[in-house]
Amino acid sequence: MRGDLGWSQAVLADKLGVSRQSVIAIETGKYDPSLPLAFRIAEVFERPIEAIFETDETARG
Amino acid sequence: MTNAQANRRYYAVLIPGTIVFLALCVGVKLADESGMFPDAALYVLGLIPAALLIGAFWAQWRYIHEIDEFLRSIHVKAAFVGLAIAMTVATGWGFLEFYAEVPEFSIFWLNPLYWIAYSIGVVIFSRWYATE
Repeated sequence: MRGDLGWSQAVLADKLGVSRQSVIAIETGKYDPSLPLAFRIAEVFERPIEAIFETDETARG
Repeated sequence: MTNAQANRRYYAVLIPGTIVFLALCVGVKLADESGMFPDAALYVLGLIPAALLIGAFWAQWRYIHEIDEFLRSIHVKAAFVGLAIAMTVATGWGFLEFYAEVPEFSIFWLNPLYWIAYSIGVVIFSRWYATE
């Protein structure tokens, strides 16, 4: 999703006001963001939150 | 507040504080060895580094609140590792001193042990969680 917009991890981190490490950890699934950060991510991508994040159940299909 | 600002505020306290702490550790030892100071003065001198340590932990507390949530999770985990190692060594070595007559280990060293373990923990967790 980030790649589709041509944003680097640093650009996304800057838009979110977090570190680049945070973006890496979220993208690799090693860190689950808090609800406020998840909503901020949805705002930045201008998408509903459920279009960006999936629960364990939806991930399993 | 950005992470960069939080870093600057943290190191602005921690670096000079560490230098003064180390200078005081050496100074108090030299004062003790010189025999020029009464015991009461040495007690007071000996407590000054401890007061500086409170400042270091206050800076760490403030830093953990100011950085972003992911970095906070890294630092909290690393602080727990540092605490766990320091307490385990204190208890384990304490028992060995009680029953196995191992050489005495001053509890003074638990503080540097905590900071070393905490720092290593930050490096390891950062690499683990923030590597693609």
